[in-house]
Amino acid sequence: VTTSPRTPLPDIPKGQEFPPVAFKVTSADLEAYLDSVDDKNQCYASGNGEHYLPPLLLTALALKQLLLAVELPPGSVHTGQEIEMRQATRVSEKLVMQSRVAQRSERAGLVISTLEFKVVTEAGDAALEGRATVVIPG
Amino acid sequence: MNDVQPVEKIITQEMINRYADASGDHNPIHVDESFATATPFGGTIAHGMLTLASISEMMAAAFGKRWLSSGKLKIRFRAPARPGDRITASATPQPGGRFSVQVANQRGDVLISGTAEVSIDA
Repeated sequence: VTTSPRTPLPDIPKGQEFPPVAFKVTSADLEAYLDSVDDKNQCYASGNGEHYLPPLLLTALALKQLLLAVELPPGSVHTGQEIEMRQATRVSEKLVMQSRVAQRSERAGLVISTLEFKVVTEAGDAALEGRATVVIPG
Repeated sequence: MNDVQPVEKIITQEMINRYADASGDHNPIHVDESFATATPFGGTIAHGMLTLASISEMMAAAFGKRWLSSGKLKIRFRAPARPGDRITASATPQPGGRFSVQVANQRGDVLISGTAEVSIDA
């Protein structure tokens, strides 16, 4: 078994971009998510057999893709989150996540990093943009 | 302006475990009781994004697809939810079509606070 080396987030400078990552969200992903958060809203069904994705599922899976390249040291705390939905996305839609370190600062022995990410459709249209702020012990 | 009804739920360790599987975030602070007990939290805590999901659920119930296609959310995580906590997500209308949103626990501690808005053109 080989594993890809991941770079600790505190070592990544402001402005660094990560390679785009393509991904799809499956019906099983959606069902598992809705079950885990106990969300019974009917708005995720489009009416023609397709299913829309909850914005926070898309956000969580985008961050999951990011964590394939970035290591969060023990004690890291997710302190802030911004998301802006641009269009609804569906199960099995081909999506690409683009991401970068938007900000990095140090204060009182802590590293504060803000990860900026954007999920785009196969056509290149923005579906969701977001920023996650993480505080990491130095 | 749409009426946004509060969402209330009880956080359980089983829910946290399911969220870890669904999101791929198996940080031991969420799923390993023996590890978490030795941290300043003194026990496992829910993923912030799991707690935050209650705000999105509330907004989706009020705005349907408009939330999925044009919603905006900007929040700060202020304290963690723990297994056994009864959390309540709520929204207060603000001028300009925004909502002040929060999640609080059964003691009234604010776990998440911020703003949410939905485009009226969507």
